[in-house]
Amino acid sequence: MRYDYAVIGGGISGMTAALLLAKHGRRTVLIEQAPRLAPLVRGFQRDGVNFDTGFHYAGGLAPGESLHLFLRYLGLLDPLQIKAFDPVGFDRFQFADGMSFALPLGDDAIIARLARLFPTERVAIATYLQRLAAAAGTFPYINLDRDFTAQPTLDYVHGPSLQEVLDELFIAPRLKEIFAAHCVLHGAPPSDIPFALHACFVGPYYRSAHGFVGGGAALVAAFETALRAAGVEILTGRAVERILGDSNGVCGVRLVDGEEVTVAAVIATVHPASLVDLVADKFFRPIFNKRMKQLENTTSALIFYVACETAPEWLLRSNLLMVDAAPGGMGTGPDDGLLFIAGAERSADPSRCGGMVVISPCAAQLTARWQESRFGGRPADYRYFKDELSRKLLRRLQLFAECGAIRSVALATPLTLRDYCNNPGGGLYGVKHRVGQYNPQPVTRVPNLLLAGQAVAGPGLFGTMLSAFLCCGTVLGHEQLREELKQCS
Amino acid sequence: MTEQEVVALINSSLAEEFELDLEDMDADADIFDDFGLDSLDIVDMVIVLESAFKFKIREERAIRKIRKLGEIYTFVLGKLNEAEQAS
Repeated sequence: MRYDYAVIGGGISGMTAALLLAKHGRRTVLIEQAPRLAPLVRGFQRDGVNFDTGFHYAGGLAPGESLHLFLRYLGLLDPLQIKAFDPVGFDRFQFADGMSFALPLGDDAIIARLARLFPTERVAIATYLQRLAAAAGTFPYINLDRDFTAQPTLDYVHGPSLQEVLDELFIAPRLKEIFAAHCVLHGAPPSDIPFALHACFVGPYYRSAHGFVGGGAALVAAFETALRAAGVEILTGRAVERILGDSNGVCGVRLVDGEEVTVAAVIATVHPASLVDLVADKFFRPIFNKRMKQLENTTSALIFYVACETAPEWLLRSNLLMVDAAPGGMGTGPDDGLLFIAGAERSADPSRCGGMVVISPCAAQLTARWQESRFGGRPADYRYFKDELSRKLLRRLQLFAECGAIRSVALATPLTLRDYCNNPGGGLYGVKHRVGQYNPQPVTRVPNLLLAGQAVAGPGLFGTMLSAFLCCGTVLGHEQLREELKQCS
Repeated sequence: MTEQEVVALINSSLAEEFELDLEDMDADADIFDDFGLDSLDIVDMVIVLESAFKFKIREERAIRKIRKLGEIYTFVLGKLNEAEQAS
């Protein structure tokens, strides 16, 4: 069988790329090494609770906004039931010193709420929100009217960073902490993340916040239906061992079971450091290989899944951010720092909350002692360490007393992120987007080898889908894709 | 750093990271036609120069206009001069 395209990696970016290509008549095979597509976003079910592992909520899902448009264009919207987060408090903040408040949706509401707490900074808050919108509007798939060539593509790499903008505008440290806390959505601290990218990937959450009934699993199901309808060949449980060809062009992929698939082009959505291992030595230049291997990853995290006897229902329409002296807006481990808490639906009744997903950002070094061990074969002392971490996290959660009895269901560590998400370095999101770091672009010097994935554009549902549009736009025509998106809006 | 040292460092760094022949490193050489670089290699060229000379290159438009190796010499010498005057 000969295909026009092989897409390596069946996560959101790979599924989006395969759909885009198939929609435009390209014979496409999508190859995923896990037994099913999108294992991260799919989540898992345990103790009668649906736990989301990769998707918790999204900005940009209101009609007319970018993510909504992407989903509509790809025919994913109809089977999905979108649920709105609480407009008067989509994220609730609780600080260690006792201060708490709810962040509402919409610039005007945010300004009004925050100006009550920080009256002298009203103008600065309004300016900040305006700047977020203006910065996001310079990106061509966010602003469909924007001239594609208007700005050097890598302009944002030079900054300013989010921290520089926060320091320029705000005086109250608490106000900076509030805005910096959303760095958990991309995993780069405020001193690292270019303001323009923070604007693209966090800015939309200030206008609208939504989830899907049934969570990430419902999203994956919608993708699977659309992929089949579009005629995409799906190979799961089949890992790619080698991209075949040379620096003049790829001609196929070899799977670990030895089968070779002949293709006219390849789109790889793997971690850039893994890409280098999939090709022969002379494929790329030495400096490119070195750059891909040395890309810095985002913060890592502990992700704690707990079932609750009486979970507060509001957790299904608001997240809780427990901010405890997190220097630089990012956590440092189970003892202090930020906890991001999302509700988990009961399997039998998705309108009721049955548990929580607790993300505690930490350094990947936390589990470095066991880095030689692999998924499924960890030593006993690693399990003791995990039990101790679970106890610490449970203790912090007791401070949040609305839950009744809480029981630990699972704990993911930096090693889980590394092995389960194929994420060398164990980053919560993979490769970091930071000032001064040149991430890969969709095109490589090998003419028919293209890249997509969070490293290319950005994290989250929006960033990964965007990476597929940026990638496929290079072969389908950016102007054609943008025109089709416009007609769909 | 003398001008010759700067030129030598540019030549050796680019030769190593782009697998070029040191003997071909001539100021008149066209980096695209003679060295086979393409526009995608520019980012990596920036990274090679940044790490060789420990400065940040923010002049993306200027860098993208470069065609001759000699223009890289001029660009880097200019950056080093600027830095020297600033300090």
